[in-house]
Amino acid sequence: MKTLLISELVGNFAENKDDARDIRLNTLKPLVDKGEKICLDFKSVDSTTQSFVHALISQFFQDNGEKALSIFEFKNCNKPVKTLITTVINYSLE
Amino acid sequence: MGKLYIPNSISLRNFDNIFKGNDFDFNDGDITISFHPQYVAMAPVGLAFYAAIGDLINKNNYTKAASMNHSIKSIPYLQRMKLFGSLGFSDIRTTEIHDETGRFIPLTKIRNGEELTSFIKTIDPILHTTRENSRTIKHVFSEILRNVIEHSNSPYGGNVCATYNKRREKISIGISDIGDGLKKALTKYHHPDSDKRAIELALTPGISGATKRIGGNYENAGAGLFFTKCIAQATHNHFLIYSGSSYYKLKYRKNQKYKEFNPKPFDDFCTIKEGLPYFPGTVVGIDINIKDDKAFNNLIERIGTAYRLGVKKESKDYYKKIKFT
Repeated sequence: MKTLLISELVGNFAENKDDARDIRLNTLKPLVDKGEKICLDFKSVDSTTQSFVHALISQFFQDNGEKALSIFEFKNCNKPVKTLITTVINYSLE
Repeated sequence: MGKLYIPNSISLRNFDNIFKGNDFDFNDGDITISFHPQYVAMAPVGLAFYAAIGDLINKNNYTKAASMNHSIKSIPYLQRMKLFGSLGFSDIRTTEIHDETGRFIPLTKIRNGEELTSFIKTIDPILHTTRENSRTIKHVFSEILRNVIEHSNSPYGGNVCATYNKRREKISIGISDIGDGLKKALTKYHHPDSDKRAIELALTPGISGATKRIGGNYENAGAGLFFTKCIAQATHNHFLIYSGSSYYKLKYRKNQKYKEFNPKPFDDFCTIKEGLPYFPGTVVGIDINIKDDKAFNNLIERIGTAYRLGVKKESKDYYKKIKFT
């Protein structure tokens, strides 16, 4: 399993969608395509935005449906981050 | 010659003052700005609006002139908020510069994602908040300014400013741009036939200017303005969006609790106006209560549910299936 420490990539308030898109396209997508499991570690992230989480992970849930739930693990999420991840996954899954 | 009259008071509550004696038609290339002769009280939504007018002057290279009674007491405040500079004029008085900390964020230009990230980092020290207490504010700043950066096509980016009312623990935010306006930004995929319809679409969950797909694409969910409006609604505050010749103003009833948010914006307790003087861009104003950490999680959850129901008409919750460790 590949672990990404989000705060190292985008800081304590994860909001930059350009960064989210870059991480999704250049790091997450190649890993998903290879069938790897991914752990997104939100340690030290105070909060995030719906737009950031959407740009980061929505594609995988839109494309793969509930299968994506077994690809991703979300570690060290505080309540706001958990809420936003759940919100995005809920509406991304069809 | 085009005229711009700046009235004695502009806030979200009395935003219509901005139209008094104005048609915002400066097409003959000259603009003369005059202020109310006795007093000018201006909330961030007004400051942001006039900063966009300043961008319009620059964009079209208008010839400008202005007159103001120099004894008006609010001149130091207007200077510190950078109103005169935004309109292309130098400051009127030499004033003592006080620390901005804890009181206000003057008019600032945000042109790209990097500038937005840097700006977001300044919010806690400026407003004397903690990281835990400023989640909602940062969320609103980020979502609206992202819309400007990605969808407005403004050559100057967005203008943002804010003031903090310590007694009421409330922050007032104004954000503007002189870009395409909502109607043009939504035309490619959603074909609104009026500015009013464009505002309705922009506030409807799942509608994005980047795709015709309801629910958005990989990068846009069409949720930013809907989330922002719901945040104002839940905290009993005003929210206003003005673009082209229409505006939408969310009103509030004291003590009303919003258990569910409405995906249809025009069904809210609001005022919608058409046929206003044409403003070729977008202005957003919102008030937010600052100490809302406990409410934030629950609020986002409820807004998310409303978004999901608005887009998909179903309410399945995958929370228990998501691997949180």
